[in-house]
Amino acid sequence: VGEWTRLREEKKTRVTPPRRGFLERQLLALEKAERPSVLDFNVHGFYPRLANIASGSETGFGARFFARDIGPTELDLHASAFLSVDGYEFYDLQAGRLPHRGARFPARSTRGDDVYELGDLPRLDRGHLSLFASARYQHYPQTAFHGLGGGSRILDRTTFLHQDALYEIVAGYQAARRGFAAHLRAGYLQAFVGPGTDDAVPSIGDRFDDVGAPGLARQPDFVHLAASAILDGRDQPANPHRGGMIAVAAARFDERGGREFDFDRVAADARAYLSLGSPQRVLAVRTLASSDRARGGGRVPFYFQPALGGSRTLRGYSSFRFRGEKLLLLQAEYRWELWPALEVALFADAGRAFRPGEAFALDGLESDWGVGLRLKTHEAVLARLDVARSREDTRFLFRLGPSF
Amino acid sequence: MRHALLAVLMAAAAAAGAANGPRFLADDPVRVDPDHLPIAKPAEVALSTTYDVIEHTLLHRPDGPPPPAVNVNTLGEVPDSSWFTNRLGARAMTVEEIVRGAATVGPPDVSGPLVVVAAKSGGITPGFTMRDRRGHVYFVKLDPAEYAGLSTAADAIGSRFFHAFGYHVPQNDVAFIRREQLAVDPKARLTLSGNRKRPMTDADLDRTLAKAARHADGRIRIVASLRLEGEPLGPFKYHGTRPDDPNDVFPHEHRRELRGLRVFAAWLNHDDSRSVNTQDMYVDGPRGGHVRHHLIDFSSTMGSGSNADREISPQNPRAGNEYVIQLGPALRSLFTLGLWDRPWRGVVYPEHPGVGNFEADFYRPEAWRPEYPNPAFERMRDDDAFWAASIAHAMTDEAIRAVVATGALGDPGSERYLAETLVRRRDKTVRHYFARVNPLARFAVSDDRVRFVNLGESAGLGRAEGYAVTWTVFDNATGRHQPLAAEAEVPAAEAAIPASEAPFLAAAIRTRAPGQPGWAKPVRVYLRLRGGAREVVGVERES
Repeated sequence: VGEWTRLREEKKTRVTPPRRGFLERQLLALEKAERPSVLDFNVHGFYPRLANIASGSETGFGARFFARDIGPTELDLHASAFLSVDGYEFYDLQAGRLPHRGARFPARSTRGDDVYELGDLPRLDRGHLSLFASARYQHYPQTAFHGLGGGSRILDRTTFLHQDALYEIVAGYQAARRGFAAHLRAGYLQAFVGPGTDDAVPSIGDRFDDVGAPGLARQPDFVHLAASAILDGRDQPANPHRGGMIAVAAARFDERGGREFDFDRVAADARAYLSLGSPQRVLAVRTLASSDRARGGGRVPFYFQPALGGSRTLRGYSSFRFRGEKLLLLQAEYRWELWPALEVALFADAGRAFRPGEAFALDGLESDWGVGLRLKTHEAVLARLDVARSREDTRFLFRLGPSF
Repeated sequence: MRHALLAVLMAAAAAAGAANGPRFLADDPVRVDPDHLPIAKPAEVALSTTYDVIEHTLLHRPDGPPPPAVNVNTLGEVPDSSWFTNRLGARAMTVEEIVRGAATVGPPDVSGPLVVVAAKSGGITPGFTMRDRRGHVYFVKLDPAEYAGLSTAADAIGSRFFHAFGYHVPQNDVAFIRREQLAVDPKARLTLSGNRKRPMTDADLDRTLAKAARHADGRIRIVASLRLEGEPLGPFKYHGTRPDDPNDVFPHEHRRELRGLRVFAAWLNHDDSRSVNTQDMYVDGPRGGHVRHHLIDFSSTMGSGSNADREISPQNPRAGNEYVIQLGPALRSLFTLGLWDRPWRGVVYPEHPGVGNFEADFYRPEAWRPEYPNPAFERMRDDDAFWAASIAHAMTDEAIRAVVATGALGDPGSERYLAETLVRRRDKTVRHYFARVNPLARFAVSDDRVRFVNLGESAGLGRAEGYAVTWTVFDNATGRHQPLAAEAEVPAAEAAIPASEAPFLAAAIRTRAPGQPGWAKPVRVYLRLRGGAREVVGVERES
């Protein structure tokens, strides 16, 4: 005891206050919320954000505004504006009862005719009826076009300016937490196609005419009606380990002042996730099919036809590489977690875009394969790095969000 | 510098070898470490839990075999101190005393109004701070409706176990209250993002209570933790010492009670046994203030934990089995394309919502892991573990059942399962560590014989066929042993002390037991002649 006491008396003479290093101080400030999170930073409700504006665009910079439950009502207001360094622009505005969870932002896009988006609906705590008005404008100056159908050539790559504005009323019901959601949309759609701004490749008019690219010569306005539904049994929609989902969508595009470009679309997206004997091993498969049908012998505008290529479909091919009235996509991923926050995936994609008049078929599919690394939370894949190889290219894709 | 200090401490503690002076001093064995010398109040510190994970995962890892613990007495025991009070295993504790735990003023008086004086600002469990009509302040935590009892029972049960083990803990009690009893103090504040504060409102309280578990009669189930005595100074770390506390001279990673805490934490699956769940308090003493060190928050023990949404839920099966970041399993998974799977993923837990994920079949005490490396746990030696296992061994089945009952789970089946699982895990824990050393303990002298207890036998680990005893005369000044008699075999746990006038005698005892090679390691017991009688002054255990 004497020795222990001596040590204490000696320490008494050299007492120093506890010190924290720089890193520890910064982390502590964040944990104690002495400093707001970067994601919480806003100026009068405008939150700066980074986002991928469109497939093939560079990362965009912008801001989102969200006010929920305004006054004593359950009405919300959401708006966003994004620009990218290569000239892509996106603006939208929604007012009404929006589908959102708590203070979280609603899904950014409200386009509704894109079946890909159905899987990204927010998971709500209780049944939710939504009814809102929406306006959206997009300006995509370097959208790729290689011709229609599976036989298009990489050498024929062109770009075009795709502008459209959509004004619509949306009504929806989303069941509690998981399960079922359905939306109806009615709107007015204006589109414009112009020369692409990518100097490295020809503009669309240099290589294609109105026959090879229906609608290139004239872009009418449309009345747009759409219905979509999703049945979702995934355990975590943005980081699924088991379960599945099926989404279907049907849309009608009626040309204003003419019939040449009237067309209908049906699409379905089915995904299944199977735990292979352990939640750390997941086999994920997806089938996506979309079919546009022109009415009365008319044509489907090329700029509205769905496309394959890019980080969420045929990953070994560039964005919008294959475009067609009909589209088939098959994807499979074997995913395994190194840690709950880090996942590796081996994947293969196959798909085909079909020319007008061609029937769905499993021959002539384009394919790719690759490996990916994903950074995740329990709820969602935050970011992924996929390396995909196809007969045309080896592509390194760093993207926010899941593949499917 | 740190190594130099450690060397000084080791020399002071062990006093091994002639060069360092006599092996035994007049006041040995030290029963009380006087680490309550009056000091100026140290600064209050805060802990970054993220930094703690990074620091403990990357730094402060052992760089060789750990040295012996430095704060033990010559018997290998931990003296009473501002860290620890000898209770279970050191003296008889009644079941009532164990169940009472750290109680001083008792649970909150819930027969009258309760005033909410603050919102809860840290941790994952929803809660608030309240004052009962006697003026006592309690930190209140709640269970989610779907898991009534899960975290509140764990907190109440855990505090009683760790109190009995000897640690300073708060008094935690399960209670039931009604919303109408609660009134928000006008001075109560809520902290918002950006460290902004605003007055707490009834609506804030209602939001907190909205998802809370309730009794069938509508009362809200809470666990109330009495505010600790003194002024808070923040958590302690499991390595180093506080530079502003002169009493804190033993590096925490070399304190036996913190190393041995791993044994208790494994038994009770206290995977959250990290700095954030400790609390230093500046308390008054007879001669002035000093620091007392506490373990707090046992809501993530046994089968209770949290999910990825930071909500109370049954314990993540990883917890207790793998660090949050552990490279080995990740590499195995990577190079086998995920075909190798974590064995703990196959564990099936019985369905007891109030108990959560807690089991005893897969559990292996030596393989158990906290959330991330703990510098003290990683330096635990067999002698540290034996010390802790001896305490665990003293917790009877009856006491375990009585402590489990304080969780008020309200479901006899769940209580029975929890108690049985704790009993089985205790047995596994104790037997594992009793097999690694020669488990002889409780040495005492009577009738010219040295008597002892074979804890391995009493734990049902095996039967001793006999004990080989070698007596020596011990020179306390030089540390040399001189043979006194040839090795002799004794059949029972006692040996006659040879006639000798030497001031110190030593007996090296090996236990002969088939199937227990660890028991053949010698335990050396030292006897001192004082006042004409022999007394036990030291015990050395080879580990």
